[in-house]
Amino acid sequence: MESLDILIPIAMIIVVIAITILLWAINNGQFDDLESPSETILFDDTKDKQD
Amino acid sequence: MPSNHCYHCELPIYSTVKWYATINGVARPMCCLGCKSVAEIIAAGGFQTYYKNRTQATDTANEITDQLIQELRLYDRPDQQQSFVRKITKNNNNQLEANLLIQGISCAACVWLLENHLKTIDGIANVNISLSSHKAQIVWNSEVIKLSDIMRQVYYIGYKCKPWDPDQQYNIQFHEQRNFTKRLAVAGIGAMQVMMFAIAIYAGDFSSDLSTKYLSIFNYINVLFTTPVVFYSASPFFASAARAIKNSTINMDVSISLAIIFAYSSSLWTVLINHSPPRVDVYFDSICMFVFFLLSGRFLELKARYFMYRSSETLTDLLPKSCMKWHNGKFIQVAITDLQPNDLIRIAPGEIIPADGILISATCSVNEAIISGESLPVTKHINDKLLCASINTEQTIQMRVTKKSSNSEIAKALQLVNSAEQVKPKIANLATTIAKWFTSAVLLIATTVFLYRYFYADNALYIMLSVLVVTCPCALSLAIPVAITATTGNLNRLGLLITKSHVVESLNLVDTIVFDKTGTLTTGNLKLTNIQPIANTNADYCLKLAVSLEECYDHQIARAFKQQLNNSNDIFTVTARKNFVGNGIAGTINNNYYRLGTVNFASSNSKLEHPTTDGQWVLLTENNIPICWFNFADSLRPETKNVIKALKGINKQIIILSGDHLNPVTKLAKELGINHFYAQKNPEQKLEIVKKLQQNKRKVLMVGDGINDVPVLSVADVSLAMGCVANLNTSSADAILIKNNLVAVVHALYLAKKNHTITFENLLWAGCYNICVLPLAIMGMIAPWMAAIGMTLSSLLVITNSLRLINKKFPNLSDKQHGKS
Repeated sequence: MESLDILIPIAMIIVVIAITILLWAINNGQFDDLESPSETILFDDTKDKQD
Repeated sequence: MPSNHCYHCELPIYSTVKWYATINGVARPMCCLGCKSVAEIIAAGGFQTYYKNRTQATDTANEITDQLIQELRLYDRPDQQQSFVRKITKNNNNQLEANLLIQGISCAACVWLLENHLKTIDGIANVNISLSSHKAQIVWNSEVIKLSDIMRQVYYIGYKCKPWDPDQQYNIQFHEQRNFTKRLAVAGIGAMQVMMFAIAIYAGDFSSDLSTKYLSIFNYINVLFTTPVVFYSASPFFASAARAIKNSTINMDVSISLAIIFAYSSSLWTVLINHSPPRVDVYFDSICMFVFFLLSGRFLELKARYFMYRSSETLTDLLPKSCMKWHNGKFIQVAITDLQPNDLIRIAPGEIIPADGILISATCSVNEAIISGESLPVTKHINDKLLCASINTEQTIQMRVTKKSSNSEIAKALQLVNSAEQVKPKIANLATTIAKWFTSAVLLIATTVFLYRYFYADNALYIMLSVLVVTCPCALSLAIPVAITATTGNLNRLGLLITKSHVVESLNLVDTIVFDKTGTLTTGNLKLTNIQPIANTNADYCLKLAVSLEECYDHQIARAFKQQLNNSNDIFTVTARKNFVGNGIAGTINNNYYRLGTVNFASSNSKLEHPTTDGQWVLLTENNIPICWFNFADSLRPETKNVIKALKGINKQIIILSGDHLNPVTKLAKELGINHFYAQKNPEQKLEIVKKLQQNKRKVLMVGDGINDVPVLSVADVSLAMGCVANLNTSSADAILIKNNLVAVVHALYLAKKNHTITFENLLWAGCYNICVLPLAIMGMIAPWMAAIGMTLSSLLVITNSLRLINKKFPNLSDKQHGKS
């Protein structure tokens, strides 16, 4: 069970990092528009350039 | 029905198709030059897939005028750019970033088209457009391209744009939303972590080989992750509960807060002080999930409110962007935000007056329809007050600004709309009352259960917590307000602005609809209805003379005359033409002197009488001899007939209540098939009639167009005003039809009915759920985590059900409607 002594702190550090990144992303406006990015990404594949 | 539809804006084309644009090798019909050029630019850029991917048609494109280009140039000035442009200092020296509001975005394909079109332009480094706020963030190199050229590109593909100018309420909502997202994120990640360790504890409990050392480590870690969830994520619940207690009431947040505080402190006590924990008494996982699910429900509600607020924003778009201001000896173009009191400005005919002010040039006439509902132009003399947002109709005028547009009468009226949205509906307050009694009952039951269990059984705290959590009347309290929020937002987008929130519920009870005639059932615009030549003159010849005289003017009567004109070459040349504002026009044709206008103006014989009392009569005289009478009358709105038919289809009684003469009212009632009508009623009589209807237990919806309807609007159960914002000042109307289209009345009734159904479903579900689950909780058959999931899911169900109202589509009016629903 010794491995847990290392894994638990690592897990906790990862959570703190994840929350920090998420808060940064929210402050940066990444979550302001939850509608269009999910759809616009599909359009580029079907774009038929003529020129 | 026309067989052709514009390929770009999807509107029907009634005449023969004059314009085509080639898209993917196929010539597609276009309704106007504006749409044609936009479609061609889209095709030339290789963005044809836009037409395939879009889910909603766009607005009809506008042609780009020189004036527009001039106005856009204003935005190149650094002082104008101050509020919405900033320099990017990081890397490149000349990169600027602007925030623009794009108008006309309807779906994700629009965003794609705009972003990709703009990215192909030299000098633009990055474009980012938000579908939810319609805000565009554009980064460009100021040495390569000017901002006005970028904005023009937006217009080229059929959209409009202006500087992003958020008001205070927007900022508050914006930060509220971001803060909420953060709280949700912390609660979500916290819940995942705590759940991970909680499962380890449960598993250890199950296999009973978890050492005490790890058990207490896991518990400590859970304390660590739960604490921010309780104190940060759940703080809105505590704040709301504190407010409620301060006002000596109980709301659902009190119950939520109590559940969280009890669970948290008892778990904390177990872990920190009572070191040998009985495992079931640690609730960190329940707390985190509870908070996370509750927040998701609230987040959806916040989104609906936010969306509703955004959809009512278009009102501010009424005003022009720029105007001509007297500065250092000449008129220069300035943005209207730059106007200060005492500035002297010039307004060309047809332009919108950009601020409140005083007329300092000669007599003119302005159309104040948007403010007063009066459809005929009003004559203004020197030193008269001019109102912001009214339209200058005839000649160039000069005025001195007294109040900026942001302080003007109309702006004040608009602010009332926003404050009105905050008023809680009566029936929603009823729901809060239900929640209050329910919470008190639950607290009482929880205490009793706790005391009983504590003295006569076991697991007292555990059972009490689950009773508290499971019965929280969240869904019950959400049931009504969320549905109303969604319906109101939907109606706002249709052009029906709700200013008092009881409207949605009251509309469903309405069984009698009373219409005013002029300006409501009719357009309030004049139409030539009768020509009466005097003596032996030819009617067509007289009409031709009149049209020639009026040809270069743009007031109501001139427009009505010009509608008669089939071929613009077919008129006489007029010399020495002179316009007498408010009276008429004089001019010479073929050496004969003609006067066209009011009786007193056109003829020196003051004893001349109008042929009838209907409508408005205009006299034409030739060398001072009367030769022809023209009669003008109001014309029916194009949608009126269908609207009345649809309203009859849903069994509403329809009544016309007019101040007009008996003849025209009878004629109109007959045309529309309405049996109940009243004519020649003054405001007091109108009031009496509606009161009498109400005494007969009728619920009355009054639709009127302004000033003379104000008293009757205030007495009706629900009142709708036609596009006249000033009514808000008297706060007599409950709702305003800003798009001036009666179809919205039918849609509003339809939506009100749907709202009622959905609210009923919500209440039924929430009530049943709570009643079924309470006994189970008292018997200790529901674990706290089950309770948390159960009640949150029930709230989410209620919210999602209500959100169906946001995009509810309506039955098409042009299809024959026999429906009961």
